[in-house]
Amino acid sequence: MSIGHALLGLLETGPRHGYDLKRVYDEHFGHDRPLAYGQVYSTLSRLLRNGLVEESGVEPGGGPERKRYAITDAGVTDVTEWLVTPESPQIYLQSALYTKVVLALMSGRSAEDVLDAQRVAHLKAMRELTARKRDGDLADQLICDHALFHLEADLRWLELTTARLSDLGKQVAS
Amino acid sequence: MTDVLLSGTDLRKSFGATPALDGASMTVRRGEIVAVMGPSGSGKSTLLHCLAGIVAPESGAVVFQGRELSAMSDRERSALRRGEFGFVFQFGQLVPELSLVENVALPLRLSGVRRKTAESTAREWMGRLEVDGIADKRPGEVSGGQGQRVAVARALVTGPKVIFADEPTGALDSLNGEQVMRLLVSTAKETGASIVLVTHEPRVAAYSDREVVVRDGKTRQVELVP
Amino acid sequence: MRAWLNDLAIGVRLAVGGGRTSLARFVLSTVGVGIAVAVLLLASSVGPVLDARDQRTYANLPDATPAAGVAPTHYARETSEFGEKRVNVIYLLGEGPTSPKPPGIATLPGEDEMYVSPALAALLGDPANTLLRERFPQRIVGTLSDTVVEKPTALLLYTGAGPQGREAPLTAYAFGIPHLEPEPMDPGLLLLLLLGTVALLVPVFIFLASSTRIAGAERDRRLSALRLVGSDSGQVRRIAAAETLVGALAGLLLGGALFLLGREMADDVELMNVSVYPADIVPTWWLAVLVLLAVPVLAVLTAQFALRRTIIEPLGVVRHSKPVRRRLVWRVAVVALGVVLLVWHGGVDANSQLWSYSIATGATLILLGVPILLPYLVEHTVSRLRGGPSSWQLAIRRLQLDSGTSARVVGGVATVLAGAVALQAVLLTQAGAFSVPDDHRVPSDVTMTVFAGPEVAEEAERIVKNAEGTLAVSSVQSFSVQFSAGESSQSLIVADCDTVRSVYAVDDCVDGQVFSPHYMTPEADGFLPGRTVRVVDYDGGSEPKVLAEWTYPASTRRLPPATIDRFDVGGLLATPGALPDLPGGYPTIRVQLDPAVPQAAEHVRNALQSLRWRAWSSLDNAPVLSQSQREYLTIRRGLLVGSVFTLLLGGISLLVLALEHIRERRRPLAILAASGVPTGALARSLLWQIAIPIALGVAVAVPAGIGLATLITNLSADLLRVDWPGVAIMTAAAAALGLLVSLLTLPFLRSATRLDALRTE
Repeated sequence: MSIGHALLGLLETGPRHGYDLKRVYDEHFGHDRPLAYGQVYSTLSRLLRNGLVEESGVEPGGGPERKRYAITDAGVTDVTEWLVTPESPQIYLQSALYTKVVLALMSGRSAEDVLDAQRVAHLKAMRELTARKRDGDLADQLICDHALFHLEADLRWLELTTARLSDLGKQVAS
Repeated sequence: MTDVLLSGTDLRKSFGATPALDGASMTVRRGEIVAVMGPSGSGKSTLLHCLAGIVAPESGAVVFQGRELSAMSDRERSALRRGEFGFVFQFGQLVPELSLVENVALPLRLSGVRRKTAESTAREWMGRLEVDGIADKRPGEVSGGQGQRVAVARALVTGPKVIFADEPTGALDSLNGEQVMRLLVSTAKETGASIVLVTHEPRVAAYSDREVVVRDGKTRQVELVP
Repeated sequence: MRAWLNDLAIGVRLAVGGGRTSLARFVLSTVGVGIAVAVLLLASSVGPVLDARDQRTYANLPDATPAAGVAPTHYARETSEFGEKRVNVIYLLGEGPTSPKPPGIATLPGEDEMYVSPALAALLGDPANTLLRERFPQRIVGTLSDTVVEKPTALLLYTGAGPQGREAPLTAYAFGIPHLEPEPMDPGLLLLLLLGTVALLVPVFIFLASSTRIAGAERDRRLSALRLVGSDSGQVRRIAAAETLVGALAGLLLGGALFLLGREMADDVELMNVSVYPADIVPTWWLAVLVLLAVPVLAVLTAQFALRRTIIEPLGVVRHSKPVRRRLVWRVAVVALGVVLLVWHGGVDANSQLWSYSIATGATLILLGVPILLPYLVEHTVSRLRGGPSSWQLAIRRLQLDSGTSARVVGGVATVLAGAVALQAVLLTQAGAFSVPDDHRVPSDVTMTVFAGPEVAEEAERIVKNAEGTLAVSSVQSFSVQFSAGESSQSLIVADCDTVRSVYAVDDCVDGQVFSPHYMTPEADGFLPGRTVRVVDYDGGSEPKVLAEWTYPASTRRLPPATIDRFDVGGLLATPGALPDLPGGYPTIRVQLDPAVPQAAEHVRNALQSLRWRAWSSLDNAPVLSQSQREYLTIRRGLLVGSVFTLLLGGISLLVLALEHIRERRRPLAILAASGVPTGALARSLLWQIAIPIALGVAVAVPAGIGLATLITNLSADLLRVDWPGVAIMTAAAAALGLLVSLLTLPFLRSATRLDALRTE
């Protein structure tokens, strides 16, 4: 994900200080990885250079951290373009889970055990996300759901694979 | 293990020649939400039916608060279903002839509570589940999500100790499903009721405290990695 | 107790006010029960209707027992025919101011006055009936009220007899004679009546039972949902009972209303010569109470019976266990018991009333066997059927899943059919026993017989000769012959050779010959040549007056059979030369009517009216019937009316079933239609679902009916006669009924398969 676009998007709702931007960003998107200050300012200076944001004033007291930034028209166009450009679907052909299951099967180990272990771990994560979602605001719900659906997809694939493999096992046995 | 409310031990049950349960065991502690997971046809629903006393297992014992269900008379088991248990199924559990508030009041009325009292209690519960606005409609006139929330209200109206939920979101889209689960879980937590939650959706199971996996009629107890 | 009331309240709540579908269900079952109740109430009113009629008849009869201090009223009656109608004319003459009057008459009418019944007043008022008005030109001084006229369509007339009335045959000292206890019915007739009642009422009860079981699948689902929420089996039973009870009670109300409504309309209805006053149609109180009690009880019992499996399986919603296979044993046992009762009548005296009841019980069991065997037969037949076009397959599969409901309803129709076939065969066979002339009369509107007392015989002959419409007149005299006092007598008719030649086509008649009809063997009856017999005249009294002794001649000639049909002699026919001199006997004048004159018969009757009660006439096509024969005909008529009614009822119940089927399976039907199955195929599948049980029903009903008739006629050693065309017609009627019902359901099927039907929950 592009941090630059995210910051531009946040600035679209009104001019903010760099510190403000970091706080709002973390609140909405930074659950797992809060932004470092340095990252915020380096990104802002890149946006400034490209003419997508401009300085809209300085709070008394000086220093770069007290600067306010506002989005420019070019910045608005840029955000709009970014939003309507579809993300290319991520295709997980190289996931570790897949590798584990295949290896378990190849080596004659129980795929069910892999599944059960993975289910416990996945569900544990899902439970935490669900709990966070229950207490959080809309943004929390959205981000948690996003993660939950992905985890669920993993689990479903595992279930399906296991079911197929046990069928295959039966076929081989008979 | 302390505080076990309901337990089924080595349950076996077959329909015709096909075994649905082949030695399944599980326990439910007070206030606990247990998800029963597994592929279709694995015996999840049958396990729930046995635990709820709807279906009698061929062998094995179901014990609720120290009493064995199979030793009870039909009347006692009915009273149990009415007072101590609540049910939320995928669909079809609402009586289409009755209005929604009458549906929610039904378990109370079957226990002999006066109509007025029963219906005012029912309205309270419908309020908690955010469906008090449609109390006088009939099941056929409301959406699936609303219907399921009414079903949850009905399951909770008698202040049950255990709620049996069999794919409660199975016929709903994700949003409605989330809403039903959120309300079911939060009200259950408030009242201290346990939930036996049969589902094949991990997302729904994620509302539980613990899961039990059923495969080919057998339960696989998976201990949490500490 | 409160808990019970509580459960009942829930049941009532489920039955009423539950949205459109439950309203439809409620209406269907209410209508079904209502119709059955109305029919039952009507059936239970038959006794009182007959009683009331008898009462009025008896109240109008003169009492000839002399009473001191009463100046009697002379009384004569005459039946005057007008077209097909019969007018009862009563002539009255009072001896004094205290003379008794028939009920409903203020003062005894003078010769130029008359009281008429309402129906006769209407008939006289009709301008088309001027000939009738000419016959009775008297001034109408009053119309008789309903309370004194036997039936609404009765044509009754009271008029003054004038001085001639002193010669009237009866002298009344009072009117109204005690209601005679009717003689016990002929066991054969009683059997017929019982059999008919059973055949007609069994389907009504079947209909009743199936009406209260409407939407069984839906109800099972609802009740198992209740079970799930924690009602115990007792509660579910009570709830279900209350639910059906509501339908049954509503049906009772509707039935009562239908009954009252139908009663009001009875005034205008005359069905096969039966007409009834609405006020008379009051059910026998204990039968009405029985209906009132039996309907709810039956409803609740059928509902409880239907619940057998739901009770065991609170998860009926979730798991459909395979339906229990029907057992054959007890079904066959019922029929077998019926056969045993018919074959071995337990040493009960044949032809006693008890015998009739025992036979009727056996017959009931056999008839009940039809609806009892049918579900088994349908189930086992359809389970063997395979293949065929898709509509056929849909129907078969559906029947394999649940054949009970349709089999039950068709059972009603099949019972009517079996009963009708049996009755009809028994009737046909008994018709021989009662030797009722065939209903198809010879259209001989051209000859007429006039009877006249000896004192007016010549006058009558003269009047008839001069009447408009008369072509030719011949006259014979009637006497009786007897071997000795107290013995039964034979009829003797005296006619001259002209008459014998013209009427009986005996061209070589010689005066002095004696003739006998083909069906009589005089020797076997004791008429041996040279034997002395007595010629007597009954003259209305019971003691015959001996007119002469007659030595039976040496030979008797045979009359050609063909001519007997036209003018039966009923005994011996003698020319005057064969007999000693006799005073004037009862003359019978035979009139040949002129076919060219319209209403020739009415003209002759009008002319004869001047002789009033002393002469009467009858067209030769009208048979004269005995009491038993009349009873037999009444029963036969009643049974036919009833069969039509019941068959109609069967049709209605089939329709209700078919509609219910569509309603209950609305969604699957809509899905089939949405996935491209043409409505025609669905309609055909519905037709099959009715047609297959009906075909099997016919296959059971016809043998059952004929078997029953065989068993019954075997008892009386009569030869079974089956009217095969009649059976074919009834079978066709049942088939047509099925087809008609299927057609009637088409619009409903259309609306069910509109795609928006999918939307409903």
